[in-house]
Amino acid sequence: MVPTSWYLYLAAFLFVVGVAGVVVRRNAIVVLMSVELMLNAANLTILAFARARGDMGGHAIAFFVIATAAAEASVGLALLIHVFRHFRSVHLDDLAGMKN
Amino acid sequence: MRLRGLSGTRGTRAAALALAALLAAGSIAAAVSLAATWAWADTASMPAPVPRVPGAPGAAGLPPGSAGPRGRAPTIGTAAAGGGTATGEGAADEGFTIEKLLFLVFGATTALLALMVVTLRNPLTGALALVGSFFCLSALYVMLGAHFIAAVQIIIYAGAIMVLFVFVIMLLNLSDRELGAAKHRFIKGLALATLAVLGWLTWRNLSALPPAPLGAPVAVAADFGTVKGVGRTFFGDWLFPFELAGVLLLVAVVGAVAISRRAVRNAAGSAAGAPAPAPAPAAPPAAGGH
Repeated sequence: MVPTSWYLYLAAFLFVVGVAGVVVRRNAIVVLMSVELMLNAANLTILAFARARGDMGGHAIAFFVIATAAAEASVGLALLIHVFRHFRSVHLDDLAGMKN
Repeated sequence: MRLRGLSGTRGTRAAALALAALLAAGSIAAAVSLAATWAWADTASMPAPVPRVPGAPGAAGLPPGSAGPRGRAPTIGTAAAGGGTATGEGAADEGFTIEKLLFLVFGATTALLALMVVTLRNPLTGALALVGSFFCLSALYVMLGAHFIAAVQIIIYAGAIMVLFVFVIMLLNLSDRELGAAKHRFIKGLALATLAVLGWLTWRNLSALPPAPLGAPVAVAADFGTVKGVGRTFFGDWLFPFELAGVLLLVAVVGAVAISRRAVRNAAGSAAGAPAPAPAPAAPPAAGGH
């Protein structure tokens, strides 16, 4: 049995990497993928605690996280295509203006 | 931080090669991982209830090689007696098992691929690295007993969501200019320093956790994490959130369609010479995008 703390360390690392991607990268697609990374880190934590406690409610929560990620990805990517048609760029620094 | 070679036509070929290699490596790793983990689970879950119960007085099922850690096991009841070094490793410490080896392999691969997602310049390479990362994560889910969620992870995450990402990346077909130049080095350095502090704080907080609730794995039911068990959970205590998830997905579908329709209508209006103040450069991509 792998100790639960190992999973927590890995999840913390994945989350920090995801935050770094959101903060540092300026490509909107990569930012969305970093968000997926953070969601997966949360899922790993939830499932590790579900195993440690023997409680299957964590599996339900992980499933909801995946469903939310699917919804977020579909809407986010549709918005991204819209933004690209409007601005001809997905570089976040180019999207500073609200009007025009 | 950044691969200079992945740009231009030669770089595109190199990127495609790298993608294919990544995908092949990821799928092979996932297949081997799942097979190995399940084989391990089959052989190990039969006598599992004896050593997994924490503090079982006999502990006769433990292999003789774990004499050292077994001597430390009774001190787990007194939490935080052993100091901060043995966080969570106390109760089930039976030496270096095959499961820990598998965790290290898949954890390291996951971490490496996640780093590639953030650092590589080409978003397509990053997307495929993310797919490989999801495969390795699903292997970790299997090790946690979450068989159903592992399957869902592969089918929905690596299958549906990442295909959507790759589709959008290829639809946009970003040129080198649109990928963005490297600028704002100061802000990047500042952000990385902040994240280093954040990671250090996370590490500290995790190390300060008391070992007792972490290191004592409970014996779980036979249908833990299987489709049957998860289904009972969904349609029992979690019925209302489950239905709400369906509503959420419906809203997401309607929203995505609405956003796309508006984009098409705007582009069509500007292409037909309508007096709407839509910017002129919006017309060519709409013509080529369909």
